[in-house]
Amino acid sequence: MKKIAKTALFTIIFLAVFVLMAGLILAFLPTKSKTNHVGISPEKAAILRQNFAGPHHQFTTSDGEPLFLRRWNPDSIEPAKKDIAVLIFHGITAYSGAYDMAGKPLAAGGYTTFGLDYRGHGLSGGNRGDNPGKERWIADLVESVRYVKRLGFPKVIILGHSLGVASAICAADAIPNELSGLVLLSGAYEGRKGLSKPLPFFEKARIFASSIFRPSYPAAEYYREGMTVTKDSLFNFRYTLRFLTMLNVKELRLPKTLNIPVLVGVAIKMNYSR
Amino acid sequence: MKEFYNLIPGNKKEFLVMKNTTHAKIPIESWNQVVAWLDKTF
Repeated sequence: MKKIAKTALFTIIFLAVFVLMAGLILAFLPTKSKTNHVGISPEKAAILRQNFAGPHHQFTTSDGEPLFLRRWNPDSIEPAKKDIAVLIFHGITAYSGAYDMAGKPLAAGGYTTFGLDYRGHGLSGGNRGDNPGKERWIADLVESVRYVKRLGFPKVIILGHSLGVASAICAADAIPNELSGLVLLSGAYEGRKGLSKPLPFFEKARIFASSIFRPSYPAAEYYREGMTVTKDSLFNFRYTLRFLTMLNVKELRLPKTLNIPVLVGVAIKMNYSR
Repeated sequence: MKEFYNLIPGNKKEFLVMKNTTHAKIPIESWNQVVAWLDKTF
């Protein structure tokens, strides 16, 4: 009986050590990039942020992280629009710089426009492609809205694109009475069916192991078949598992009591080129 | 997207179809439609 118990104990210890070793090997296994994209470090982001010459702001979150806000100013401000700011929440992999396409025409239309770089993206601080969790994510968004209000814009309209739609919903849910409107474009709410191939088991195991043994390491690469990958180093294609799983976009809902103007935009002839 | 639109509460919602638009690149015509909505709404 004693011999059986001893054998069982050794087997359990052997299996535990085996799983631990296999997990560690998987977590630290070098992988080939599908995007071949080269991003920047948080240190490089800090240098670029300090040297950024265009109109911008920087604020420090309640947990001490610097977040970058790009700004597009109208040539002249009509009295009816002076209290209004449009705040852009960008899509996954992107940053505010990619939204010149929005900032310029919105500013030309007379609206002072801001673009937030999420934590770990663009010129903001924080571990690249990462966020500690949903609560911190929402806090960053709320703090960006309040920062813009403190700049002298009591009416903030959030413009969310792709993942930014999920961000806008999170912010509206957290501070429904502090927003004046929402513009929700090409939401990440529902992706096209069959667009993403499921990951092979080995790849899933590698990402999972990495999330256990080094959760702040961006082990997952954001890539879809046929996607054109930009060479802009301020984009980010590598994410931690905790970032990619912190929101279930299909469960996000605007608060039922919300009654502010909402514009929902949908693209036709949609593809996922970057 | 229609399902999402239907879930939006309130009676101040509108739907915009952005033509000739990819997921990542939205042409100026669509942004001008957004500006027109802002002008009309606020």
